[in-house]
Amino acid sequence: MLDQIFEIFKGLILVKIGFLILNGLYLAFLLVVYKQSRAMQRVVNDGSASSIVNSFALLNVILGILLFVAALVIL
Amino acid sequence: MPDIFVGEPEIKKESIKADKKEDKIHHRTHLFAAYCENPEAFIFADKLDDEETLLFLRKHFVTNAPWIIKSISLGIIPLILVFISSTGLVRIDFLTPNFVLMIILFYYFLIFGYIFVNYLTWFYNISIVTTQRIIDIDFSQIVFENVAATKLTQIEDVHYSQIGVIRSVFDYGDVILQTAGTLPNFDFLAVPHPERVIKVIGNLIGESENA
Repeated sequence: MLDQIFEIFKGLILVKIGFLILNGLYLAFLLVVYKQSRAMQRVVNDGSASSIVNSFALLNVILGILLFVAALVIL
Repeated sequence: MPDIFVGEPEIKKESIKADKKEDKIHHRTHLFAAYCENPEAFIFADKLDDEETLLFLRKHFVTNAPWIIKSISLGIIPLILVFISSTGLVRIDFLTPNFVLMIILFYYFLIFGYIFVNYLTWFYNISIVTTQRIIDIDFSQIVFENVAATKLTQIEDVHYSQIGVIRSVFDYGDVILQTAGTLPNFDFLAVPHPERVIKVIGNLIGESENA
């Protein structure tokens, strides 16, 4: 039974497409996080700490893009 | 025999150094600061020209323990799965190595995102006490943002509650500011050193009433 399920999943393009869509949606969410982080810095500017947090948000977005591109190329 | 001339008592240098060090820590904001008196290099929107920030508060860092523990637990799960698959109980060989690698990378990236969003929520949930106002900035679930402010003259009473062993050990509690009339009360939840906070606010209320 399990072997049959494995066979169905093997090479199934839908799973890969689903994974890419999920990756893309998460990337969009990260962009919202980055935007909100920038917006909050305008409300409260905690010196260098806010800048570091913003840099982390940007790093998150960059990593998300890299992961999405890698997924597109590899899968 | 009574002492006619008594010199000044010796104050231990170490204790002075420790006090100075503590003061320095409490004046500086950093990535994990939850309590800061007269913070340096701190700006907030709509700050008045003659307004000075006296207290800068966040929830005690210990309150982040639940999501930190969850993140660590989630981080360990793939390692357990790899161990189980190596014993042969679960098969993952129907997936190509590249796909497994991408799933693992994406999984850890999700955990990183979870950590960051939780940290950001803690980082931007701030309470500020200035020489003129009390400001409460709420930021949660990334999309919710609420900034509330009241003048010191509107504050009628201030008290705090510190219930529980963990709160006593880490010295944090809830500070409740009662405002006049039908205005909503201000709650500073789980802030460090609540007794110091009510002392500062109490002094300010007294000054504003005298003025």
